[in-house]
Amino acid sequence: MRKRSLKVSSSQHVDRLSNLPNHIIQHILSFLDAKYAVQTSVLAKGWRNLWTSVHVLHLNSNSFRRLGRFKKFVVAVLNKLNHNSTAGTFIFSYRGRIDDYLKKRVIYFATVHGIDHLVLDMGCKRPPVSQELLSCQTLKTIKLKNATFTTSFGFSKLTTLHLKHCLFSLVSNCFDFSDCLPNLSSLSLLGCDFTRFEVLKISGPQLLNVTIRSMWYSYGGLSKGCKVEISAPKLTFFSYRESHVVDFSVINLPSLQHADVDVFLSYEEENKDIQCLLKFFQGLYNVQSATLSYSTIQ
Amino acid sequence: MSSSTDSPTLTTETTQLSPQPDTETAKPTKKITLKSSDNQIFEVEESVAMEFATVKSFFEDSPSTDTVPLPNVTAKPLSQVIEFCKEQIKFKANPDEAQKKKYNAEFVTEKSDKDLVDMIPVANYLEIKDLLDVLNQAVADRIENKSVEYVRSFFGIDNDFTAEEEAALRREHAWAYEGVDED
Repeated sequence: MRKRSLKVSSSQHVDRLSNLPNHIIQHILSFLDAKYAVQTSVLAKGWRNLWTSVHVLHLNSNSFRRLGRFKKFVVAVLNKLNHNSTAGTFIFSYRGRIDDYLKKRVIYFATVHGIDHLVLDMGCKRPPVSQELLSCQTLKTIKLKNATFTTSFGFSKLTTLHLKHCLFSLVSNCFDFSDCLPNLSSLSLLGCDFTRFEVLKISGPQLLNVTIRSMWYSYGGLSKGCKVEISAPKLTFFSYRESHVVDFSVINLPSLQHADVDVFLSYEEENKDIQCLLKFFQGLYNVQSATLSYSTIQ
Repeated sequence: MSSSTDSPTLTTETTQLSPQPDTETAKPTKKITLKSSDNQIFEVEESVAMEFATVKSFFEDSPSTDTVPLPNVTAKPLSQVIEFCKEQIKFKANPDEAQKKKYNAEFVTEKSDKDLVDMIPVANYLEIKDLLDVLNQAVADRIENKSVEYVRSFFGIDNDFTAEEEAALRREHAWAYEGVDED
């Protein structure tokens, strides 16, 4: 491999980036989709293996017209990186219906390489989240889209959990984001389906911000009479948007600074909804700023 | 329906402060002199110079110096780096993530490929992490989905593979080639 030295004084020099140290080039490659990172291996001999030490591995089916080609690509990349991955962040995004083999390979990679930050879009059909992923204790961030949870879960190191269009299909009338996430600081639920539950509990000793969005019952969000219990001593930011009014039956947010509420009031039950909202705002003390907006839905 | 997964941001009540009064007229601030490898002198406020980790540790080691020589840095990229850091100081004083994002995007968009690439070693040498992120992201955006030949000329890389070696490597990685954009 050609030796790279940090020499920049001759700005008219032709060989520009190849004068940069490898860690800079690896940083640049970490911003690229893996397809283009792999293609840099033919630039010159010194580049041949640089892509294999990216810090962020992006695998996105939108970089390929044909899903069959993407699948081949994913398997080849994961085989190459199998024993020496340096990636701390793994981003995988799929369009269409993922097959079991590909799902297994992706989850295996995500769970055995000490990945810190995992971003997964499982495509349409919301496949179930496998037990391997649910028992992975190294993850600090999980951003998951289009998946189904069939059991409860616990992640001891997790600080960020963002779920989008996920279905919770557990046999229980209560879902509880609590004891099993002791270090969680950021929770975001977007358009997730909790319609099976009568009670949703959100609590955590380290929680700093919680966002709940697009959970209107007509779109399969929270059920119509759902009670929400939220209890977090350190929470400073709470947002509840684009959803119907729910009964916040427990509110314990002594550190809350910003509340952001944007709800639909139902036409038939407007009075009941207003009572619920009043109760919610009475539960917020210490709050420094609150925004409330609503629209009435017939 | 909105579909953003970004962490929550406050959408309202972001108080728009009027531009800060010019700090130079408000109170005299300490200036630090930087000298580029082509002997150009730059006088910058201490707060800006302290954004450069390399300069900061130079001052910690020898606090009595008034001029910091930067033997690895030429004037043009240095002036652009200083311009960037001046703006970042304003955002530090008055945080506005949206404006900062907008500024950072415009900062790289208006630069030529050469200016962009020339700033990278400067940001690396001066250890300005935020700028390095912005520059490396911008370079990645400019080479993504381009042909191997385009990327070689972008970086000014001499191809040291023989035609046979290159063909063999392309065959080995055939799974990574499908639909590359026109240059």
